[in-house]
Amino acid sequence: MTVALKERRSEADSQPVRPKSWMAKFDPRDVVLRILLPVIILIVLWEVIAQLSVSSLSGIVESFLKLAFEGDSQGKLLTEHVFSSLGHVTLGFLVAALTAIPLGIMIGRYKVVNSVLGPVVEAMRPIPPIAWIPISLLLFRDILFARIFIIWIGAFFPILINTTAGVKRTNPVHLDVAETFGATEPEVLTKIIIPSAAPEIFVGFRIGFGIGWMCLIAAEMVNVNAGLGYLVLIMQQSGQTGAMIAGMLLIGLIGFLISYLFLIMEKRLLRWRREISV
Amino acid sequence: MPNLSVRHVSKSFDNGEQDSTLVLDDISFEVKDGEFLGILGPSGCGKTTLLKIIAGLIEPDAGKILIDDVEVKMGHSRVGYIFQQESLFPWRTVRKNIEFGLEVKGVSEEEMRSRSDAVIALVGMKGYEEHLPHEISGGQARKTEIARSLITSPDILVADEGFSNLDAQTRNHLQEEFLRVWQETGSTIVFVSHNVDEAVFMSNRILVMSNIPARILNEYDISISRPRRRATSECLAYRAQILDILKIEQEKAMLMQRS
Repeated sequence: MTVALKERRSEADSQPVRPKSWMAKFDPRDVVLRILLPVIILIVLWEVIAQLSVSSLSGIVESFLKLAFEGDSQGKLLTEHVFSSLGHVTLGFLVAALTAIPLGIMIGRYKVVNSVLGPVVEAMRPIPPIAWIPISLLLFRDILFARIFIIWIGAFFPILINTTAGVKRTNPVHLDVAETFGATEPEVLTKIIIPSAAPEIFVGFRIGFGIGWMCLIAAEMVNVNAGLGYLVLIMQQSGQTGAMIAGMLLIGLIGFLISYLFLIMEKRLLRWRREISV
Repeated sequence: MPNLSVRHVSKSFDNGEQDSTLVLDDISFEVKDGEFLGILGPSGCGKTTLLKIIAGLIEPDAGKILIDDVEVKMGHSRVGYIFQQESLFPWRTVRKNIEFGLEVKGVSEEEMRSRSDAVIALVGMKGYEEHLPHEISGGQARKTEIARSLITSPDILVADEGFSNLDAQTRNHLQEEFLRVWQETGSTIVFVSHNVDEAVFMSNRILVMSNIPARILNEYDISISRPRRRATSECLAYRAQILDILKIEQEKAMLMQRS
């Protein structure tokens, strides 16, 4: 994430900056560099992995199709695993966002909260989320809650820390402006602090979602009977290497697509920022 | 009739430990209703601190501020403030920036529209209402800030070196625009500057401040009829007088730094 640098504006370039159309930006060199070459490198990389694990690319595609249309050994279709994982990660992520954003704002905005809770956060943060898996199984009898807890742990800290950083970086002159108009604290929070911290909060969303997704897959390899993590583990245990790799690829693809979705949302909502790096 | 009275205001800032610097030393002055007061002084002499005390953003150590003979406390919202640095909210369009003060006061949607239309026309920003701050020029940003301060019809408007970061042509243009706005609205204005030409060109009266601890060194009534022209002999005469005082003050400051 690069922070947009404010260029000095002069009267000469007072013409409004209009985004160029998609066609105007189209550059064949870009297609080769940003799409064609990465795809070739990925295919070669996966061919190497497939060779090493004694399976082939066509084998992986075949297993993928088999998983999608016939299902695994228990007859569960791939979509069932995907929806199970996606449902849980969404739920856990929402809980994380709803808890981390208010807390992040409080820590960033109020010195007292910062001095009390700042050290607590710093002490908890170094424990890798995956290390919470065993205790989650003890804490929650219901496996669903245990998994949501793990995703929450994973996504919570990145969202919290980025929100806090964003709030702390609020431009003091913006707060002064609000004060000269007699804005109340709730108005300062909703009209100044939150919009100005929104770019950092979005960065927190992207990182938090990625870690939440990672944690979920790990949690699914322990003590569950559905989800993509479970699928990958079961396929390995039953010697179906192709299907295992297909599952891995799908996990990566879903993670990538959702992170991309966040970027698109970011671009839409934060149109006021001069530059958002993709 | 005085609109604004500043009475015996002092302020010091802590520099950590037990050390503190006296910034404002017993400042008193009055501004008449509808007057355009210029305040001149060397950089870092506490002009911004003075304006922030007037606007209720900082509490003075001693002294008080009266508006229409009634004392005002921290957090009052009767003074419109044009800040030294760019202060538009980058996430709001020009119109939403201008309407901010009314939004906070809970004014109805229609009234907000009609009043923002009026100030947008007043400062000449028509056609740019839906632009974002990064899509307009520095001069236009200043005009938008002026409109934002004016929309709540504050009793007093203070400007802190409002035009100092702009190129000369834009600055001249904005000075004239600002005078036109002042004449059309009849506002009381306190205009801080370190630019002598600017202060002489615009003000009814000028206070010259010393280095810190800042005191008021001198006061000039600028009795030049309006509309003024910049390079007339009258303007130049005032300018020479004020520059002389500031030069002596600058030399004192240099001596103090050396010792």
